Amino acid sequence: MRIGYYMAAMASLGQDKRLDVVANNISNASTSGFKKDALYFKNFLDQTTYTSMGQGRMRQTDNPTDIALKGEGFLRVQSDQGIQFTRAGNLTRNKDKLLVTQAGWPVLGKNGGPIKVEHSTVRIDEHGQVFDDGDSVDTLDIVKFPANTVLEKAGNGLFKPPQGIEAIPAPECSVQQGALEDANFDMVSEMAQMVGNMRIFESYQKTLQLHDQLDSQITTKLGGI
Amino acid sequence: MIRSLWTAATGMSAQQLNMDTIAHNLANANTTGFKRGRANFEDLMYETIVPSGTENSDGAKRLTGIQVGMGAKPTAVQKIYSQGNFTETGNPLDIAIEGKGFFKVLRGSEEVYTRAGTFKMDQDGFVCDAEGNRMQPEISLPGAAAGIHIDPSGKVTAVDQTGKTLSSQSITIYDFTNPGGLMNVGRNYAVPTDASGEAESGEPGKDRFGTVLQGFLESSNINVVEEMVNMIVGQRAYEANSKVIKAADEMLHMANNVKA
Repeated sequence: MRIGYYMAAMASLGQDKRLDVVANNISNASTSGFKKDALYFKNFLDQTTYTSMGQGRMRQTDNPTDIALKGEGFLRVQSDQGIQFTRAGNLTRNKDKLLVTQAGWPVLGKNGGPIKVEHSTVRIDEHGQVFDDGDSVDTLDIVKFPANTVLEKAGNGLFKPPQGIEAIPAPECSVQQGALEDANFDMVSEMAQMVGNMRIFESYQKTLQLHDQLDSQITTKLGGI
Repeated sequence: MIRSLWTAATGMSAQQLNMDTIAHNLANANTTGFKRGRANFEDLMYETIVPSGTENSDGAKRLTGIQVGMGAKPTAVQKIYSQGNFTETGNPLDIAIEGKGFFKVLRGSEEVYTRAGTFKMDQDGFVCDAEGNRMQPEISLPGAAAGIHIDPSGKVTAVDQTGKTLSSQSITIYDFTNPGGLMNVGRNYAVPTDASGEAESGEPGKDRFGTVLQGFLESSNINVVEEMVNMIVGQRAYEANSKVIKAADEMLHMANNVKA
C-alpha cells in the first residue's frame, strides 16, 4: 500500500515538472531562435529534459542585420562566459561597428575575431559571407556539434556544449539575411500537452485519495476487532 | 507548479511589452519620419535540476539531465530604420531623406536628430522644424526670395522673381554607427547614446549618406497589415500563457484537495 502511495506522489511531482517545461516553452513564444524542451520519463524516478533542435519558421523582417540560420548550425558568440553558441540572429552593429547579439556579445567570424563592418550597408550571403559595402570582410563562423551531442541551455538564447566537445564547421547550414527564426514549437501541441498533464496529475491525485481511504478503512476496521 | 505560475507570468509580461510596442507603432501610422519599433526577447536562465553526465538509477551515465527554464525576458525594443514611403506635398521646405541620415536641430541647448523633414521659415528667416527649432548648421533665407530650390546633394538656393540667385547654402546630414541605439525622446527626436556612437556629419549623396528630396515627406515605415498580424500572434501568445497559469492553479487546487 505504502509503495502505491509514494509512487502516486512522485508521479505527481513529475507531471508538475512537465508543466514547468511547457510553461517555459509557451512563455518564449516570441523569442527568436528559441528551441523547445520536453521532459521524458524513462520510469517514474528517471526523467530527462531534451531540447528539440528542429528548424523554426522563418519570418521575413527586411532588417539587414537580422539573419536566420537554415539547417543545423550555430553562430559563435564571444560572451563573458567564454565562447557560446546561439541561433538568435537578431544582430545589431554596435558603436565600435562590430556585429553583436542583442545582449551585446560580438559574433565571431572565420578569421577568429569579431566582425567589423565599417559602413552601414551590410550584406550577408547564404554562405554567411559578410560584405561591407561590397567588399568581403569575413564569413560568419557557423558551427555544429558531432552527432548526438547534448547541448546545455545557458539562458539568454545561448547554448553550451559539454566539456571536451569541440564544434565542427557546418557548411550545409545556410544563412538568410533579413529574416529571423521563430521559436520552434507549435502552440497547439503545447496546449494539448498541458491539458494532458493536468488530467494525468488529476488521476494521480485520485490514486492518492483512494490510498488514503484504504488506509482509513484499515485503521478503523482493524481497530474495531 | 508554483514555478510554472511565475514562468507563465514572465511570458505574459513579455507579450504585454510586445503589444505596447505594436500599439505605439500603429498609433504612429501617420507620423512623418517615424520608424517602427520591434520588441526582442530572450529566454531566462535555466535551473539545472539534474546535470547530464551523472549516474541514473541503472548506474549508467545520463546523456541528458533535467533543465527547466524560467521563462522569457525582453532584451530591447529595437527601432528598425528601413526607408518609409514618400508623400509628395509640393511644399518647398518639406524635405525627405532618401537613404541613411538624420537632420540635426537645436532644441533649447541640446542637439537632437530627426528624420521628419517638415521644415519652415521662422520670423528671422532661418529654416526651422515644425517645433520651431532651427536646423543645424543654420540656414537663413533672404526675405526677398521668391523661390527655394534644394538639389539632391542638399544645396539650398534662394532665387528672386527674375531667377537671380540670392543665396546658396548646404544642408548637412548626420548618421550613426548604430542608429538602433539612439534614444528616442518623443516629438520625432532622437539623441545619441553610448550605444549609438557619435554623430558623423556628411554631405547628402556622398559617402553612403542618403540624398535629400525637396517637396516630399517620408511617411512612417510601419506596415499596418504586418502590425495587425503581430498583434493577433501576440494576443494569442498572451492567452496561451494565461492558460498555463490557469492549469497550474487547477493542479494546485487538486493537490490541496487530496485530503478531503
